[in-house]
Amino acid sequence: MRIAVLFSLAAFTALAVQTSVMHLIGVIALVPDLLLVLAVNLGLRHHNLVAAILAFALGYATDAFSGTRIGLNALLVTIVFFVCYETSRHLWVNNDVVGSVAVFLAVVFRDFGTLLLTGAGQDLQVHAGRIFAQIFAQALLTACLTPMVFALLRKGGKLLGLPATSQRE
Amino acid sequence: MTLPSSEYEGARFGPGSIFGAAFSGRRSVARRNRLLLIGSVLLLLSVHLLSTGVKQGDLSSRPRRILMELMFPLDAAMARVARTSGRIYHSYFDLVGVNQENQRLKSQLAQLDLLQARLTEVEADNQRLSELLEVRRALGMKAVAANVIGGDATGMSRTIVVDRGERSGVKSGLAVLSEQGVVGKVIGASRNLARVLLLEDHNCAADVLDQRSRIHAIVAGAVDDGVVLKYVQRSEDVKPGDRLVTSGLDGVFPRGLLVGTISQVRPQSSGLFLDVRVAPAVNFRQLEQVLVLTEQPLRSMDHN
Repeated sequence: MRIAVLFSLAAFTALAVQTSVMHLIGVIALVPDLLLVLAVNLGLRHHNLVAAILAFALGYATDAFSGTRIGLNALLVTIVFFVCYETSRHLWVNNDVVGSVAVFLAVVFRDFGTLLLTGAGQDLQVHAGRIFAQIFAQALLTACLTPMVFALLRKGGKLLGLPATSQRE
Repeated sequence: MTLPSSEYEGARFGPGSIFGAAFSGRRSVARRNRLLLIGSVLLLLSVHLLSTGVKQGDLSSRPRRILMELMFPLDAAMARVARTSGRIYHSYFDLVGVNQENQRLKSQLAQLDLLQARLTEVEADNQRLSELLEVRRALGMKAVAANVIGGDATGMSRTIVVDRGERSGVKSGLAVLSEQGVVGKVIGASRNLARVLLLEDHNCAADVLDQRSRIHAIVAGAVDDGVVLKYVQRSEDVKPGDRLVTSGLDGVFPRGLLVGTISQVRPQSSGLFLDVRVAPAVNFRQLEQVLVLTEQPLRSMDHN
């Protein structure tokens, strides 16, 4: 239950940052995908049913404030969660560097998935260079913010009395 | 460093405990199976949502509307804070680095600047709202002015969030305009909020007319930012500088609204069509207030 409280609060903050702050400040055109960072954290560090449901909810929340199709991000974020979950079961090391790499790959996967599932494949062929550059820049920005988000989650978890070590199988 | 899966579970029963290891192994497998089962259900649910499509008013759209409504106060507050900080940044911090001797005078000047910036902002708001009012009068349709309070949650779509919802008569499918031209259309609304799909998104399209050659075409967003004119055959007469206006045929936008100007025309490397880029009339990055039409226009064919 405490994990649900932690991630719900984190998700609301992340949504507010993604939808309002980044756009109104307008310093850069890119939007770091903090909700995806939360999903990766769940996949890498919390192996239970609540985590899976939370990952789906994070995707659904993204759908509510992005794009035109409900279910698209829910699907992609749930897949990201399960890939991270499977990967982390075979990892000996599970630190922030691994998290950043996982987030980078997750953003690339999610963005390409979005493009392909929304039927933008033709545009992808025509303007490949610019689209790839934008996706990689976004992935890099999100990956750079990952250690900070993970640290904030650790602090939040500590405040709520969650165990300090990751709850892996 | 964390222990691998089997050791992590087994460690709770103490090293060398055969029963403990076997028991924890079974528990771990059961737990994993449960997780995979619920995961499969969630994946199927996502695919179901994605393939059926959620319409406004559907039961499955309710969580989305509740979420939007929950975010409203936070978004509105964030928007206010960000705007105020922006004003302070532009009016005050630009003056950093002034001469020590003039510190006191500069401080006074900064205060006056703040005041002036606020007045300028109010004046600009007033001007924009007056222009929007003019647009509304010219169209002769019901409309409400709305403030832009947020953007898209990811970088992959081009949407904005406005502070008017169903309470003000805003619902999905309505046209959104600014004093400069067409902005986009509403794709979802809760009680106090609505999401607008911008014309520069690759899922948004509008039926337009070239004002010079009277050719019909579809304007849509491009994935790599910008707006393009789609399905224009090589033999069609389109030139850079041509103004594009809405044709009124799509049933969303009233006829005659400015969409943009053709900026580049070149043949596609393969295919029958021309690659036509359009400079939109609206600067989507600087939208602050928009006008949402609260009634749908008659299709121009019906009109005639």
